[in-house]
Amino acid sequence: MQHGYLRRFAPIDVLTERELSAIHQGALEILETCGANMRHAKTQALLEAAGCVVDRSACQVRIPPALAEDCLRTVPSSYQLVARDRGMDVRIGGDRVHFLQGMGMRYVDTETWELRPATLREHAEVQIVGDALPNVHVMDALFSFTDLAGVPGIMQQLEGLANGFRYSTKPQHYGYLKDSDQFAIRMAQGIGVTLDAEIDVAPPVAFGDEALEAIWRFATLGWCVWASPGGRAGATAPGPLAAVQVQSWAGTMAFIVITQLIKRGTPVGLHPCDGVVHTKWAHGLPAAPETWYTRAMTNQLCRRFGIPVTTASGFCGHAKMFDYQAGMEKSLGVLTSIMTGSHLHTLHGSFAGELGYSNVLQVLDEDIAGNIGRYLMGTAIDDKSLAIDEALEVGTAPASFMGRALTRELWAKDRYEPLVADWGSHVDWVRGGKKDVVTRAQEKVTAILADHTVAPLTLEQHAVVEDVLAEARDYYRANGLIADEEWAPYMAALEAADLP
Amino acid sequence: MDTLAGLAQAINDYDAAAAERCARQALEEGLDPVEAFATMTAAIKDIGDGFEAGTRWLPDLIGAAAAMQAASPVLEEAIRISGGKKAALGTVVAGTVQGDIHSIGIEMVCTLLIAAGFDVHYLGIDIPAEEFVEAVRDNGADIVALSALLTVTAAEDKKVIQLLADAGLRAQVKVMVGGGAINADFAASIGADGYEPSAPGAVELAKSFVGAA
Repeated sequence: MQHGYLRRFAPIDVLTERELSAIHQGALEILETCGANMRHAKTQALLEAAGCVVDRSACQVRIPPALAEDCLRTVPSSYQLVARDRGMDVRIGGDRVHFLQGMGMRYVDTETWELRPATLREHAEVQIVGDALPNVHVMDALFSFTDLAGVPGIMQQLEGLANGFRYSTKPQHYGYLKDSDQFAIRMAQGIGVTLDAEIDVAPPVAFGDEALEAIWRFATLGWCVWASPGGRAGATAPGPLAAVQVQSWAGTMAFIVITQLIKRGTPVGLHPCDGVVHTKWAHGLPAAPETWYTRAMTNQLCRRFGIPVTTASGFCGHAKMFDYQAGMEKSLGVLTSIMTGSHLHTLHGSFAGELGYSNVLQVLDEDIAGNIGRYLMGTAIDDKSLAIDEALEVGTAPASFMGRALTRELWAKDRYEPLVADWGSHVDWVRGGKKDVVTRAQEKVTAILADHTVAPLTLEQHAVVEDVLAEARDYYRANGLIADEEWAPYMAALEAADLP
Repeated sequence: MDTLAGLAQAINDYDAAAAERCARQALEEGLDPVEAFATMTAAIKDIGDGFEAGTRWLPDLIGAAAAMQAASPVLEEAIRISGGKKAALGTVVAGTVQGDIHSIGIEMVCTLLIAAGFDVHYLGIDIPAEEFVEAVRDNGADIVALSALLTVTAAEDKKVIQLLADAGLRAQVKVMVGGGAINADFAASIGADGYEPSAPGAVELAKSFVGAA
């Protein structure tokens, strides 16, 4: 089991209990009065049978507060993700903090800072590096590079997941796209693992058919589904930050009602994508202070109601290079979210507002995770750690504690050592060639790819992956989602993949 | 485990009492004290190599050096009586100059010098210039290493060098200076033979002084 980090102290509250209640009551009022929008007949029938009022002409489902609160009570406060190496399993929730790979569309060239589609090999290398980094607890193989050169759009998530299984033993995270989740589930079942799935709640409070089909598939299995509401202040939600929270919580509550009616006890996580938008261009701002504060409110709501929260605060930032802005945005976003109670934090490798993904940045982000993780661990307060006897024995200066057994015991195991951040002296930096941190991270990526070995899939697991991929290709080709003109380049890309 | 292996293990375990006990036992068994001393030097060198490689930490080195220092007087006395000479790259007298009580930096340098194979005589902190001169004379030192972290005490370095010259010892000993108050220009201005801002670099500088670099 990967235990991540145990937060030794209480998370920060940004709302009073009365304010939390006001947000919760506001969400219930929206669900009861306006309702959630969906046209998915099977889900409408499920909700109607449970006492909801369904207006089929308007596709609105009004949810009684009592039903919403009843369903809220049966959501587990934590869930376990099963990995193909059971030592890599994770349990998300409680006072544990874990990190998840980030997501991005394209490969970042660190010479030119241009973005381009990634190759399948580059995608595989991201999985290998993620597998090697101790603070990447959950892999996000499908979302690292969602623009794979030569691979048809409909197959990118599945090809990504297959690479994730091939090149990492850690748990995998999935999404959904035109039934692709059914293939992902079969792949996972054949390998012997579970997946969690990130599923959109279209703001304000609406559910697409594909999202609901995916919820049904995962919830029927009792696998965790993440509600991902994305209301943006003044755009897809009212302008005030509190109102964004009310909208997101309403969407989440509707999501919870659906999952719990499908199967009681199904784990639900909240993965908010809400926040504020750019004041001029109206694109989303994942690394703005207003968005971070919105996440803080979400985190507290989830803690209040015992729901695992999997946030992405500041995970990608808006910087265009791996520079001061990039580090500032990512660090502050992650820290403010984790300090207010998030459980699984999306972080490693994402860049430029999800437009880019980089193995180099994945390594750089490892130090953000490691520093914050060490901070969360704090220190024990007991006779040994207070070390009064040690202090009395050694006395005052010029005596020092450097050679003491207690120092030796703690020095290596109690101190965070950065992976690429340079904590050495200026003299040593000059003598070492004045390398910047990006150069050091590039060197680390090269070293990991040369040295890290991932336990391969068994022959049976490998066969499952290949069989499911082949079946999915046939399925999507038959229903026109892989066009004839895409097929030859796709096969050529697979042929030329030169996978590790 | 034979006695010399036990001595090496005591250094490796940072066990000063065991190191001293093994040293005495080695002499009782009639073992060569020079060989016993070389055993300790090899053991601490392994720890020094681990420090360089990032698998050992400074407290490990200091703990090992403390264990070695507990056993050293026993073996050194036996070596003196036997008329032998322990193997060393060179002899270093080191300390923090008068008026300055900072110790960690110079102790780190001394520990790394010991691990590298030097015979180190660490005088401590707040050491008057006259004591450095006396120690150089008494130990036949090849190198004197002076530490000063305060700008107000850096001038003490110059005083030590002047007194070494006055005592006719300047030609036999190399003077290396370091510490937060020192830079290369200052070192050159007072006539020091070398300046080094880092502890590992100080070892390399000392090696260069004795032709072992």
